[in-house]
Amino acid sequence: MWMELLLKRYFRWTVLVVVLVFIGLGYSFLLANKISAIQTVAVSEKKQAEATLKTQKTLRDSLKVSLKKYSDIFTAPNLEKINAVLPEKAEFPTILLTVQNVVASAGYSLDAIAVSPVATTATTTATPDTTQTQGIISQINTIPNLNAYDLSISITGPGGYNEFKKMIDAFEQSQQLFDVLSLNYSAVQASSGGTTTVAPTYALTVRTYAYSKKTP
Amino acid sequence: MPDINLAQNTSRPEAAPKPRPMPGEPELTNPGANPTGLGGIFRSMFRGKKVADVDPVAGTPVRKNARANDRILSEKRSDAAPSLIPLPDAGELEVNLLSEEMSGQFVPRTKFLQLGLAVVGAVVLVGGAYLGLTFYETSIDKQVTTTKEEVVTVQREVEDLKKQAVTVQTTTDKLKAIKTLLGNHVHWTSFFYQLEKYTLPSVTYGASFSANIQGQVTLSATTDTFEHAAQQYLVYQDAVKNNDFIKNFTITAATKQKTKNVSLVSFSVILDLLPSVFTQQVATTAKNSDLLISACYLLAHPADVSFLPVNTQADFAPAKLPVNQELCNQVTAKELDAGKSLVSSDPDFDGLVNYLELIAGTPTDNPDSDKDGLNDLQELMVCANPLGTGQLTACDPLHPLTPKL
Repeated sequence: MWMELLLKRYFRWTVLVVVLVFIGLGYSFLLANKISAIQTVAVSEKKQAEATLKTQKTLRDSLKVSLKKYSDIFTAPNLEKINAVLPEKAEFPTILLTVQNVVASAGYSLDAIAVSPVATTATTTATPDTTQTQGIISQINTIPNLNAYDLSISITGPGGYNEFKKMIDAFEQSQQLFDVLSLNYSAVQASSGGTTTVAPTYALTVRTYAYSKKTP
Repeated sequence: MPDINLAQNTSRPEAAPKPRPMPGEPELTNPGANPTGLGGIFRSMFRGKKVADVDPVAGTPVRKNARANDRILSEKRSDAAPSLIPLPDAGELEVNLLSEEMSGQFVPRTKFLQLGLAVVGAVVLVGGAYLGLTFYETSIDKQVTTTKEEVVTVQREVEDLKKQAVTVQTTTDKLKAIKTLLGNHVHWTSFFYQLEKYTLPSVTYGASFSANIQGQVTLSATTDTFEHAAQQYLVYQDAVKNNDFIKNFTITAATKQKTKNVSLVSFSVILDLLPSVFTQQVATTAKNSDLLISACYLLAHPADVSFLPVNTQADFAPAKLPVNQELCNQVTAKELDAGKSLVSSDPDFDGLVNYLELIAGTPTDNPDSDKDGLNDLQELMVCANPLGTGQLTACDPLHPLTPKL
């Protein structure tokens, strides 16, 4: 009876209800999950990816601008000069050759050289120095990543006062930094074949530096 | 008794359903029954009754929900003479001899079919929506994948740039270190310049010499007389007073030695240097440079010594100059031109060319630096202090101006 009512008198409503029921079921079991998945992807992942992309692009552009500014200053020749003034490594052969060239440029000859690293206290906070001399000595402790090496150098040569000054000046003007910490001069008398000659000998203590950035 | 519907159903003229005729029976029509075929099913499902049924008698539309037999009943009740009006387009008269209720008993299969079709339609609708959403999801997935790939690419670029930034930072830090080191760079040339400035011509430093960065300098010096040794003591005192390069000094003993016809007084000097002497390189070097190129110019052009005061020309002869050809080979032609200017120019017209003003330490634009009425040259020739009062202690009246570096 009820079937007859549904199929005859309320047929249209029956069709409508059945269609709605099927659409509702389809929505509940299929479409709702799909929509949820799409929202997860579209709202969450896509937006997150786009936000990350935007952030990275901003960072990249900012870095590019900064690096462009510095690349104009830090050209290859300039970097070469900076490395020449303060090399990353103070290796013995390099130091030896540099010192020999400086000494030879003033007409002296290098007799002996000894390199010893200077112990640093590895502090990164600059402490004010009471005098400039102390500043020269203690600066190795105030500059991060700075390594200092003391060179004990013995030289001889026929040079006089002007040549000696020229040699000291050569150390001071050398592209690689050299601080002459002490000078000692003595004229040693040497007799050979009845003639007495004076051979001036010089002992210098020179400090040079290297800069090595410690990777964190 | 069954109703006989003689009215023509004009709402479905194209669908003239014809019940299956029995052999020998006249063909019956059932305009109220559902038509067959898919189109007919849908039409019957969604057919409205908007098309007015035409009253074949009055020629007027019947009321909307009038049943077919109402017309017959109305005809029976009507007193008017029956007047049949020809039906419009009445080609074929359909006669339905079955009541609607009876005819309805034969349609459930059709209804189920209609219902099934509606269900299929709903399923198709849901399936289509699902497919559409799946397509959209795939499209979004692709976009997300593309975006993520782009993120990875940009992140790599950022990493590369960061590495470069680290290099830049290292270089910047290194430059700061260099700046600090140069600010504390030790310059002994300044000390030598000051030592020469405060040393009498008769005093020479010889046998031993030691100095260190703490500012302790020990010198062995020789001169010809005790008087000169004492005079040198006074010169050092001036240096301390002027706060020029030493803060203190010590001369503890002087010994006279005679060798053959020459007597030498040797003494040992301990100087306590001002720390600033090691960082005065810039100004001193510039001065030294000017002194050097002027001396080198005179070495190359001895005749130009004529620009200097007459009583000083002998002291600037090539042999007396503190430079040699080897040293001057390092001086460029342009620098020699500058040296010529220094040797020949006297802009304040005090008789001292700029080269000599540099040696004396007097200004090049003021003929009377201390404004005492005597110009700088006149004061220097008598070893008077051109910058103030008193006499110059390290000055020999016979050689008031001597070349220096």
